[in-house]
Amino acid sequence: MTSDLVFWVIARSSGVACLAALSISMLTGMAMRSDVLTWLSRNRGIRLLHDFTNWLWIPLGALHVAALVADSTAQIRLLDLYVPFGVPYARLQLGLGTFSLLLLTIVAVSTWLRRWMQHRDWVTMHRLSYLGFAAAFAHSLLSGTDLADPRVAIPAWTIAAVLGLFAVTRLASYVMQETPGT
Amino acid sequence: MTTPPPVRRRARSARALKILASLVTFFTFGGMTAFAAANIQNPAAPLKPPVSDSEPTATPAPTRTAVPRQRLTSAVPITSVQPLTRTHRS
Repeated sequence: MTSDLVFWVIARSSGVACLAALSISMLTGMAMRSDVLTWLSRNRGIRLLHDFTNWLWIPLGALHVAALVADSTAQIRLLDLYVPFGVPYARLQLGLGTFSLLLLTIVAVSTWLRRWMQHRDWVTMHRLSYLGFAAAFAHSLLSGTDLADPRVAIPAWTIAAVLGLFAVTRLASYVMQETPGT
Repeated sequence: MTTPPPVRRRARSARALKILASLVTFFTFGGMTAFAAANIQNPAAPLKPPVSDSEPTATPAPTRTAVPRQRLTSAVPITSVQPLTRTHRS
């Protein structure tokens, strides 16, 4: 197996594993307010798990990006990690990956700077994680080699559907709280 | 049997959840590595990076050049210099 193929395999596996870790992060983040995981643990346990998931998805995301840059077949330049939609081919599909990388970096950095930030600013930045995860999932779907395979696609879609349902439920409860007279 | 205090129980629960999340992630990583290594190419993959447009160049066939045969001399040459040391004889 050539070095390019090794990088290619690492990029694929770390990408899917990063998406799995991000799904756990999103699930635990949404569960803190909606009490959907109270059967599993109390809110504090869920909160600790949510904080811990940074140690899972950040290294895997970094490995995914590094392997793609090292793989000459993928033709990803260092500039493409900062500037979305600049790759010579499949601009949208790969640009979504860069876009999610930027958004999730903002979320992670703002989390570490939380104690020096206004709560409202932090919440606004933290909500970018919804967009970041949606972009990451779209990137996996449109450009991922493995999500084209039903053995990987079915679990991925199931998790995405559960997360989507949680997000809609949470949004609905938020709207009902904000609407006067309800 | 005594039940552990709630704080310790919660801490243990959080640790178990972290271990569970780590296992899920690393099993996904390991499983996907094995899967990707076994399925290097997926015909249904949405992206296929373009290959270089330049024509592939043929590797030149190895050629043999005449190399003069190497001559080996005897390993220990005989010298005419008088010996400096003596071998002990019992």
